[in-house]
Amino acid sequence: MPPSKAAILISGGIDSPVAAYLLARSGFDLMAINLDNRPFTDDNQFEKAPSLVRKLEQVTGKRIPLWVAPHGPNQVQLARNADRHMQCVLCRRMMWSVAAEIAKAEGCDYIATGESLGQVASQTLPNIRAENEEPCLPMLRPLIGWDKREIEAVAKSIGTWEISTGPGVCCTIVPDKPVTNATLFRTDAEAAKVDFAGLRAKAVGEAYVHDLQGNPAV
Amino acid sequence: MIFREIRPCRTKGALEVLPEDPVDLRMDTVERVLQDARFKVVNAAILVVAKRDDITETTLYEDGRMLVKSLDPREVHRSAARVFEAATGYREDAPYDRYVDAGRVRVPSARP
Repeated sequence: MPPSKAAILISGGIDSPVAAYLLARSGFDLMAINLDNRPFTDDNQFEKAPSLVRKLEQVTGKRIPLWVAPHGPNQVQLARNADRHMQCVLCRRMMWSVAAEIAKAEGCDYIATGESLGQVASQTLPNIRAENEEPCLPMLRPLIGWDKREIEAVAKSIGTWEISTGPGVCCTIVPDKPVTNATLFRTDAEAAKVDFAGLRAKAVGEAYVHDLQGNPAV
Repeated sequence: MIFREIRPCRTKGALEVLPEDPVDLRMDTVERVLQDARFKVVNAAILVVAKRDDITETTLYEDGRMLVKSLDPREVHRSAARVFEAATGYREDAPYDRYVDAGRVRVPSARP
């Protein structure tokens, strides 16, 4: 039986490369997907994704193609039309949804994230439930019950820590008080305020394979 | 001096500029006046991102706080002043060095 294939969402942070490493170690074939959050982050933060994937390829010995899909325009539409406190929930629902479409077209069986419970305000069980409604593939969360220190220890041991903690602007569009107890009803209602399917289709249509060997496309 | 402080942002990847006096900006209006001043603007309702050839990309929030995507405080002061004046009409007459002398630049490389 051939190995399962998963698409890991790589943000540039500490957690997702560790999740990718664990999946590769478990025998998964991987592809990586980065949702390009500029202009709500900067070029330094964006460049972490290809750097992390290159490091993961070294560590795992596997080829890991990196797809990049634009996400900034989605953020704008969500911010302009939906409840601002729901920005993170809707952002994540959109990211999973875009990633799942790309992953499915590339023959993946799963999408995967580096989420662990309670690590940031938006990563709560109710939020994950509300965000999880759209993707057309099952989601894997290898770090869901992990402690941050455990994750950091693995990141340091595989050499991704230095890349993830390098200079970079974290998301600038996070609201002052993000919702931590989203309901499916409320999330659906807010998502309906934008052309969710249209935004997803546009992001998927503009996604591209990042050249990990040459200069990154900007 | 129209700014209270120049300091690293939370993740230390950029510098933040806080206005001396509180403002309450309407981003649709800000978008329009910045475009009139030849900025390229992304309006995301709670913030705008402003770009122009002569400044570093700057994020301006409703309360007047700015995040300038540079770690050079002198450049950050310059870009923030241009964006803030175009957006609010408040003109920055104080040079960067006065901010350093006043202890308002909380960045290790404030005076290289």
